[in-house]
Amino acid sequence: MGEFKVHRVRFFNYVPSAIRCVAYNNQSNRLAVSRTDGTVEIYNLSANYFQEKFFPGHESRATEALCWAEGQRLFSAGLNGEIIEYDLQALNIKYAMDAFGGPIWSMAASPSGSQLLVGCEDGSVKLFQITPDKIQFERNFDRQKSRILSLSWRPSGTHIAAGSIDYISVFDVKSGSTVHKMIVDRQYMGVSKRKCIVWGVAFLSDGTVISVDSAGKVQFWDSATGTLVKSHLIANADVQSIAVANQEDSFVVGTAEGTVFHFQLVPVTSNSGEKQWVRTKPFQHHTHDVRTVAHSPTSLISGGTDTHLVIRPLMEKVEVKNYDAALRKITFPHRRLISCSRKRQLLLFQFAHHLELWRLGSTVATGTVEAMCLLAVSADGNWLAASGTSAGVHVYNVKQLKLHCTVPAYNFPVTAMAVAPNTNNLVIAYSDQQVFEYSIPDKHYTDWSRTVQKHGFHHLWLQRDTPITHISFHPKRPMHILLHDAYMFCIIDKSLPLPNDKTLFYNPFPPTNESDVVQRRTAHAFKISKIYKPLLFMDLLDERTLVAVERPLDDIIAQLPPPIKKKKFGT
Amino acid sequence: MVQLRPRASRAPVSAEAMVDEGQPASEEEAEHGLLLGQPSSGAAAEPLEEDEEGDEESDEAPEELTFASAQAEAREEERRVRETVRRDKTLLKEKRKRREELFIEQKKRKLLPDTILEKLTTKNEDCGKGNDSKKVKVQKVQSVSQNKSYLAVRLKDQDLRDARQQAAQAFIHNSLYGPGTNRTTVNKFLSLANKRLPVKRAAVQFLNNAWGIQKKQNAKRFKRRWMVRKMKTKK
Repeated sequence: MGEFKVHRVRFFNYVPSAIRCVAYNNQSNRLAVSRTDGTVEIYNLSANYFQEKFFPGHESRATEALCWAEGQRLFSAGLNGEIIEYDLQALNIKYAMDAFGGPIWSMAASPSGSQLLVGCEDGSVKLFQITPDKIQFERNFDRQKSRILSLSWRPSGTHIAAGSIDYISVFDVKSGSTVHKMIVDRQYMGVSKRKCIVWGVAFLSDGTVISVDSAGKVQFWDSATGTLVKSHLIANADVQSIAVANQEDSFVVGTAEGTVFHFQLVPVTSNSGEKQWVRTKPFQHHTHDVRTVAHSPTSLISGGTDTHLVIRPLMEKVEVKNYDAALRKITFPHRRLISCSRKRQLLLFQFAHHLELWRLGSTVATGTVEAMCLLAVSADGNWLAASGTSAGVHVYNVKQLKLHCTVPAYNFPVTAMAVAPNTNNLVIAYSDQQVFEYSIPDKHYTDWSRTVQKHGFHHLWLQRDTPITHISFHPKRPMHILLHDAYMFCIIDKSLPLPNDKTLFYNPFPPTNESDVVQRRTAHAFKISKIYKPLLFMDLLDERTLVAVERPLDDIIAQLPPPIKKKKFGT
Repeated sequence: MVQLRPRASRAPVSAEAMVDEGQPASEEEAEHGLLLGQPSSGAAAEPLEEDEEGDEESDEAPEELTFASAQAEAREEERRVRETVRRDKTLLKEKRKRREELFIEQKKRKLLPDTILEKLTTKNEDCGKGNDSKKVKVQKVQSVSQNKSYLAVRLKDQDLRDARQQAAQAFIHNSLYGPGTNRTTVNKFLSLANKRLPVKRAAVQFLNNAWGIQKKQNAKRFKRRWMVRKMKTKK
């Protein structure tokens, strides 16, 4: 492999923005995530949790609520008072409709998916009808005194619970009038000067309303009589989000201290049919406020101010207990934000609103306006490979400007592509960690690729949880492919034998002391190094130099907003 | 001869006459009387004096107040009062008039010039909208622009919208990070773990290089000036 000089770059000041809302879509197993800077990302949970769609955002479009409606339509609403629908095929915003109620705080789609309910700053709850191409205002419900911060439909579609400041109202959908107004205590069995903000409500089909508020309580109310049934004090800080499973036997809440609690409906004794809600599991995967949670059939999803998206599969719901049942924490972007120019020794950093151009060895920075595009990689010659959201990778002949061939479609999205300089082989990495090599001139997969597919990858290779974001090549060594993901970089040597599941995959020490025989026996094609992590980008500058752009987590955390104070004994 | 302070009483003559009468008696007695008796007798003497004076002047008639003069005075008083009331009324009236004019002018300034209003009313008749007043206003404006390539928007609406958005953002900031919330800095939060380690470590961000910026700048300036001075004296 040889020795390399490495430019270790740590000055890329990439700070992701906080997650504000998540919305889970059951039919397509997709998760929509919106952040405080207005970007919306769509993750495909069945394709190894890969971020497949991305809508760049603007602070004026910062969302406060996100929801899916029927027919895979995504809506969001924010403090600028507009309801926005996203076009998932064209990857842009279809339209933005002003709700005329002031800033919008909450939004919920009806269980049938054909109506949209919006809670506004002026205390009004507005009902919109979803038509095939737009949404239309239908009517207003009874206007309340303070802003409506959370909404929830009853699964039967007859009632609505709306959480406000110091009280919760229950509306009847048909008439639009308030049925009950339930006053929430400002503090658990006490008096407080601070108003109690009801951050989340959930309506169950048996008429129970679950509310979470800023005093740290989870309360169960009976909507038929408008009375409090049970009250749990679970945190010293606000409880900011709640999500109920479809079967209504469990729900999850997120607190401002970063803890996520799982509540389950458990029978009182092992024989009795009577059940009660019990707090079963606490999870501490976040350091800052958990502003949003979602409940999929098999896992709990949470996101908040510390910018991580955490997906925790529930052990009792998962059928096969393999690596899939482990915790997934998505911190780093799944797209490549950095480009490198080899000859000029320049690095281009992509930020949300500007670009930075740096020269390696010195510091020269300039900025320009940017635009986002889909994954497309051009060769250093005549071929252009473009991958869309589905249906394979198309390869175009640049000189003749026509489609040359199409790589067969694969059921997982493409995470990285590159064309080798001399052989014109297209190397594609998919989100399930498969790597294919396709020969563009010959229009078929290469022999090496077929061998790899027959042999299969090492199980440790397939169990990596971050996708490969960049592939590059050595100009003088056509048998080498350099690729990296967030926690490792790897050089694949096509001339060496492939490892099977029993061989030692990661070689921790350079093989200097071992004898030649041992070396030859253990050497395999995948040379992996985990020295530089977390890696955002790695590339070959010239024959003897590499550049590695790292982003230590501590640097990101240092720029986050203040968390809740924790008291520890002895400090 | 005893010197007495002059008394501005109604009948000063009688007091002196009293003292004069006492004069032929021995001087000592008079002095005595002065020292001891007279102040008290003087204090007590006044009412006696008045009685005596009243008695003495009872034959003087009081001032005569005829009915005619009283009537004249009353009429004068009435007239004065009426005058003041009238003046006040006219002043108030003038003030109200001025205010009214000011309001009319302001209203005129607020409304759009007549030409655009005419256009709007004609367009309204053509399009035939008009249920919700607020919505109609916005839609009216948009319909005017059908011929032209711009969109007329009320700046006041945008300001209102921005103000509401600002208020909403302020609300959420206050409720999450405002007074009464138990927040701490990221540095302190991460350093808490360091305090509990078996080998205690320093805080995550131990150095604070942003202290005393002004002091450091002053020191730098002083140093520069001092060097210049030193160079000059050396020469």
